[in-house]
Amino acid sequence: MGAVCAAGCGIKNAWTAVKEGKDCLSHLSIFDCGLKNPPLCGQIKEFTDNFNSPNKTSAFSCAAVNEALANIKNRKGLSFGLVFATTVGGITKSEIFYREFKKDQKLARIAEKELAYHEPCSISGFLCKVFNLKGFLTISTACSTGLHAIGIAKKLVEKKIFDVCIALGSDALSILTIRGFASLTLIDSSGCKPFDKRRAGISLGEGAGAIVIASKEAANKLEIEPIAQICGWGASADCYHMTAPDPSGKGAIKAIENAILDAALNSHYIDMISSHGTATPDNDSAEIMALKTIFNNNIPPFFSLKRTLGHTLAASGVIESIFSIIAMNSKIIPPTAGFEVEDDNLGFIPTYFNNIEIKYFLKNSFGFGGNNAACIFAKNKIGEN
Amino acid sequence: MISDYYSILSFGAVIPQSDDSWSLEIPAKLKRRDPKIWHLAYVCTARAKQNLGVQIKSCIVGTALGALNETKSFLDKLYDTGFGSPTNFMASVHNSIAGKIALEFLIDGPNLTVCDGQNSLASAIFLCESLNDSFFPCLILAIDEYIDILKEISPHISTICAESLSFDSKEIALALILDKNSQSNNPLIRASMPVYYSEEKFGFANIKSNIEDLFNLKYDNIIFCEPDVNSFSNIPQHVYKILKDNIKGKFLLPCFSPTSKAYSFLEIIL
Repeated sequence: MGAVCAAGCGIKNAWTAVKEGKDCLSHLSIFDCGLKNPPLCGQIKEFTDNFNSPNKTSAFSCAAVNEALANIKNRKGLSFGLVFATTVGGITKSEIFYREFKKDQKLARIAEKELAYHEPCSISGFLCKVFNLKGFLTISTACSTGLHAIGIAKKLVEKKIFDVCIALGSDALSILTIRGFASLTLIDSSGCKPFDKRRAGISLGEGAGAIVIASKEAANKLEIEPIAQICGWGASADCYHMTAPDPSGKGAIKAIENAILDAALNSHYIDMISSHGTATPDNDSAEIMALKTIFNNNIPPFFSLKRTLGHTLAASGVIESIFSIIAMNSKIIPPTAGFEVEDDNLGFIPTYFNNIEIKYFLKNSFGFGGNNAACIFAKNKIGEN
Repeated sequence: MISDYYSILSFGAVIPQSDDSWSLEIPAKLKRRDPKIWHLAYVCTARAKQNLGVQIKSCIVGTALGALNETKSFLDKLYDTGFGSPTNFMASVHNSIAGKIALEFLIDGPNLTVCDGQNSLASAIFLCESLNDSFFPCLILAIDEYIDILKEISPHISTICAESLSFDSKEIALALILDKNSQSNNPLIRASMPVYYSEEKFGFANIKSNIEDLFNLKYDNIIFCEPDVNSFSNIPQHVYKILKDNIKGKFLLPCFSPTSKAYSFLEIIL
């Protein structure tokens, strides 16, 4: 696994912040978004690109994939593929180019340099070149994309399309996303407060996460001890509204049920929930409604990492899965930074535990377009017999 | 890296340049507010769904650039006035098309969007491999829109982009409703995922041999279709023409994305 995020570059650095429930948000300073009061964001301020990447999304991707592949010195003839999740792709560069192009249309002559990596799939191609990967799929389903990438990569390995498949989520902060979410009045100027009574919106973030998914046979051949198992993936559509979640949590319920079914488990096996927990009033409420239904009002301990990492959009599903896997293996349920005041209307609060046995956990991600994803992970070797 | 064969239960298409009446099929409630790309998606889905008689369980959209006009409109308003429109932003998200179709046609199963440039239709069909059997029939949509700024900028990106814009027919929306059962008498389709081609020299010149090499294909009696670069989502016009005209045969339709330097292919058996 590999990650780059506001909490740190590299898993080891970032995990320290995650397990302490650190607030890693700061007022946006890495570029001018045009707002008088720049919002609190999970921004990556110090980062060195070692891959001559064409844009920030690519640079974060390379760093995460490089860390994830570091233990694999010899690929032993196995086929490696990629499922790449992004929402912004190369917009960080093209939005600036377009601003200047509007002023001077002669700039079209430098379009090749500025726009060649605008398309999300151009980054997939770049990653294939850098890391010698054979084929790819580039998906974009808003904030749920990263978790879908994990589910799809799992299926590609199960179907023996690849021996090893990298699930990668990556998104850089951009003017488009900051001003877009601001235009929808979805950004909390004082920072996100997941599941808190005072919650008033999200805080955006940036980064990348990469998980190397392999069949048991491929892992054995590579002589690598797996960190965890991916047991199930579920997907659904709300069919309710283009931006607001179904308040009953109907779509989320269906995605979680599909993941449980795919894992051939039942809900009683789930010991921990890594929530989507964006901290918008509607999202957190709909997620709790879904969890109440799935777990029959007996919700396992849950947490949100959005105040620690910011909402990293397509990357969030992968990055948060990585830290949830480490939490499971470390017997920790991390604190939910930003949460202070219980919301009686929700009836449940995020919890923090040390030294707790976790065999299975559920990860949720939900996005615009009523798009829902859920994955179930297990400790390595659990349920093998 | 090649999918199973899927049977095509039905199909629909909108080619605005040669179909003046398509917009009459947009429901009044969507007509006023929604972007054109949603309209294209709605009408071709409705055409495919006509007389189908089964509930579609999942939806996979393949698009190279998504709702590009919405992204442009958001940035135009932001840069010109200091305020971007939330409506434009919400629609500019790549998966807004899939979300809208799910909402209008009540498709509550998996809802995926794949953005693989001119390989997007092949990727969308290949992505069916990730769905469990219970999520079929699956709606596949291949869609991209043409906006004027592409004409100004694209020729500077690559000669292939320039070529694609020299055609009259620049946009198309294609809907295929696919089922898992390949034993029926319906037309069959399968696709590969995009494979990165590491050679420095790439392009349309050697596309057939490159595809045969990359995917280890040995075809006899196959009708090789020239790459159709009229649309940014690549070859749906060829697919549509073969199905519409009911041309019997086994067809290989190559796809190539210059920005990702990757090849894929579609195979249709009629």
